[in-house]
Amino acid sequence: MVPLGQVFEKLARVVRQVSREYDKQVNLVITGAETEIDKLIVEELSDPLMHIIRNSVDHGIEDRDGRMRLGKPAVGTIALNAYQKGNHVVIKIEDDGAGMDPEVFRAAVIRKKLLSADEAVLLSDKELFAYVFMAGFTTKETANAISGRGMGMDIVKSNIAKLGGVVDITSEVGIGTILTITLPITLAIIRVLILEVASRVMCIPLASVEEVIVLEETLVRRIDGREVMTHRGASLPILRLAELFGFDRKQPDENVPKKDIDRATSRAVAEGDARVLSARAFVVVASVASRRTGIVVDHLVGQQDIVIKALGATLRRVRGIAGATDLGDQRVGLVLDVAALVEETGSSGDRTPVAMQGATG
Amino acid sequence: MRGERSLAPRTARDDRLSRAPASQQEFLSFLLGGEKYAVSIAFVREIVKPSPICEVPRTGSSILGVMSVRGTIVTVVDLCTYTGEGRIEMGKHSRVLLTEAQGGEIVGLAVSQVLGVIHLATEDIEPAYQTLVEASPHIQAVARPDGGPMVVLVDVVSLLGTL
Repeated sequence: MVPLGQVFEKLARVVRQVSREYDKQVNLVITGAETEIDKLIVEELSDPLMHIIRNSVDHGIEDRDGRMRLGKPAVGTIALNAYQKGNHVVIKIEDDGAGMDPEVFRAAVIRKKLLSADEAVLLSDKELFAYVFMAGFTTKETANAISGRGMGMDIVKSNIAKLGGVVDITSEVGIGTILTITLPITLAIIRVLILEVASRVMCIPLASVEEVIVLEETLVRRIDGREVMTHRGASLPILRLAELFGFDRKQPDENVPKKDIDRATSRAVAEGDARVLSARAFVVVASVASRRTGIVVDHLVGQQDIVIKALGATLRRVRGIAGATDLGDQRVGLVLDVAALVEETGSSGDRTPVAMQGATG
Repeated sequence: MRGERSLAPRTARDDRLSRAPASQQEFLSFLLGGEKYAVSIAFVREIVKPSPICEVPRTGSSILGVMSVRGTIVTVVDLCTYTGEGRIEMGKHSRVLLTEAQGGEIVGLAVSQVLGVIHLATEDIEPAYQTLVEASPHIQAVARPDGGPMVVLVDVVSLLGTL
């Protein structure tokens, strides 16, 4: 966690530079620079914020004469305000410039044939301003060298969205424009699928889960020492998590001899007993980029939003584990590093069994 | 047991003792298996009851796992594996001593039972004999408080350094 002040300082320089470029007098007022946010977010934040500030000076703040005519203070103000709100950080960028005219937007929407004149009339100011973020949308009739292509705010929005944030815009003609960015405090809150492997709780980020299917042992083939199953017409390497991690199955319900489970399962299939059927294993189809791996687990517990925490320095090098989380009931669940696991299945064609390599680490 | 102080608030006598010159040192004594050990109390930040410990795969046998201490994930080390007591069995009396490793990371040391604080005079502490050090290199010294039963002093810094 780092304070937002880091980015804000950079912005102060941008304001000085840009206001000189456009020959406008602008005063940047910063509040809440001490608000803390995930370091990774701060690093991604400076480009979008710089663009917004640049826009404010360029399009928002009027030149000195213009402001004097309107009875505004000669020096324009851009207020940068950050504060924490629950699990989020809100950054407000407010200028006391010319504001945006909804009618100009309405005309542009009609001109670009995005909506008919009848439909456009029904749009609220907020809905009209939302077009700012649309790729290729511009209220200008012609683009010049630096602005008017309608790209800038689209990129800002997608950059913020990548961080899990949203951008809102409100504006009033002659009063100014307020851009509100809401970001999660940390990227570390992720949605996971909670699994059980040999009675141990594990989490897998939902973002890398494609689907979950019941493991059909009959579909598994051994090819060159690797287990592969056919799934949706393609071969899917299989990773048995309990074996890979060397978990022994000593827990009560695992004490039942395998033969008995099989018998119970076949009886359950006949009787449709869902509880005994759950003795079956599941394959979590996990994907990273275009590579897929089927991770074999015992049970699916559910989904949960978790705060992922790094393991201590002594455990940070453990392959296949991205971190751990407090599940809220005092228990700790390990979070799987899907990328590492997928890579491991891909490279497990070599002679050394994967489980053995890990055991010494 | 002689030479032991409970973890209750300090008495005036204790205060006088801790203010005494460097000839007096405080140690926290505990059991590993059936044997009595102690670590310098300066390294013990907190004693917690173990919450469920989550086993971490692909780690050495000295790592018991990780547990959550008020939301912080703490690595728990099995002290028994360092002292040749086999593997610890966590029971009703087991506790985890939280200590700060280099770099500020909090590491938990699992012990079978916490006994109490002992005050040792410097002359009571003898360097560990060679055979003992060879068996487990993190033994700092042995002590016989007030001529009583022997306590093995564990060197936390050297132990954490090997993690």
